[in-house]
Amino acid sequence: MKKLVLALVFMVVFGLTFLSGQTARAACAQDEIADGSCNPSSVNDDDVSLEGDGSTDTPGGGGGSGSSSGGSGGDQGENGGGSGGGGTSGDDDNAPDCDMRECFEVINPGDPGDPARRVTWSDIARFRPAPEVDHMEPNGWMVVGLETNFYATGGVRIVPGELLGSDAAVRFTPVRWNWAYGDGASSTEGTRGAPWRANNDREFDETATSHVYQRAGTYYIDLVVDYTAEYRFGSGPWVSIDGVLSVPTNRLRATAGSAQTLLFEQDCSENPGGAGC
Amino acid sequence: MSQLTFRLAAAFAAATALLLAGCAGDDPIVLPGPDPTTAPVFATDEDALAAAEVAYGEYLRVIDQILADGGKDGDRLLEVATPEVVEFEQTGFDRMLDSGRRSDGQTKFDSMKLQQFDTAVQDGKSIVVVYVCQDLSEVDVLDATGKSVVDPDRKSRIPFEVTFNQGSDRASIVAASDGWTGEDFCS
Repeated sequence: MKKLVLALVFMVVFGLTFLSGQTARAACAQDEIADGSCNPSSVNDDDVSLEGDGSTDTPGGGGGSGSSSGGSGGDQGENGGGSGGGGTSGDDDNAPDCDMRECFEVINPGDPGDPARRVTWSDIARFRPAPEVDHMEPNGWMVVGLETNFYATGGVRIVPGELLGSDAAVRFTPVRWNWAYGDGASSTEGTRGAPWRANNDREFDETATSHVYQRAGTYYIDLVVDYTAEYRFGSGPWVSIDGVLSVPTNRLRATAGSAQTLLFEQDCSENPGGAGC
Repeated sequence: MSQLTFRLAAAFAAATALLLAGCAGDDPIVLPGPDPTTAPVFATDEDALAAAEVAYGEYLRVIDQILADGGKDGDRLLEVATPEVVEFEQTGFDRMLDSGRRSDGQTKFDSMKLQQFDTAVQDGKSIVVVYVCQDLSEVDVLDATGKSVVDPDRKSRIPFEVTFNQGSDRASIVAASDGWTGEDFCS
């Protein structure tokens, strides 16, 4: 009961605006999970490694907590640019309904002289990774001057299909998470972050992916996830494709308000680790 | 939750809002949009979790049936999942149909924990998010000749983050089922 009361207080005080239109696709279809061809939780597994020619872009560990690199953008090439556009424009829906080449920005650093390269981004344009899902806590609101924690859920996506006329699969590994916080600030992280409770953090603690808003108002938060890609034919070795693929996720809308007094879900005797205790 | 306690909660919330609004200066204070007479779908964490357990059990039961039938009649999943989830899973059902594979055995789950639930979201729908372990130890996938095609390295227990929406009849349906890539709480 106490929780509900305080939740209602928050709603009234901060004009709680909940996420809307948040939809997500499963990382792996259940048939792939059942036969073991896709492990939706495998982003931290050792099997996420490069078995191909290994020329560029070894997929990073990606998920989990900590280890924010933020500086791994060096391979975003001069000749990038690509065919990007679209993405999160205007409404709150994710999963834009269009061809990958129209929606997603491909940043390809080149290495065009590699004679061994047979598969390009345009060849795998029909393979689309299910987008990650952006989350925030508190959910839909923030307190000016305090940390708001953003995190994504998702993982390695293995997308089977036909490539150059043969059965193949493309493995997309998320490596960078680019948040635009809607207040002019942005951040590139090497981790998708995690909920506070996953790391035993207290509410409003700073995390690798948290952000502090300085002014009250309504904000739209966009997250774009960069993936490296590998392909394989049949059960052959994975071969990397140069460059990264940038895929937009759902847009979050949230309201920041000020507070002189903060009420927390539980009192300090129930939750001694809570913020302010 | 009784009507009385809900009214008390609403009154307390309104009173606190007025108090704090007086201190908040020029910052915008947005009054709540939801109709205050609309009772939340779940009164307590326990109610939300119990509904999620029922809904996820149904979801796995239906998807097991479809996979055991070799991917036939994937629309059955619409009873327990959103159209977006069904559309995604249909790609897997199509693979089963094309390859003649079918599954055998029951996908189980355990250790469900509530991550969050929102008592009100847009369109009056409630969203519940849970962590759960999927247990595949009794699930086999057979090809058209009856030979198992399960990867020997398949993990039998997989952590998931599952999101439920309140469906049109106020029952919970699966809106997202993503592998949890953080700490593996199932091993």
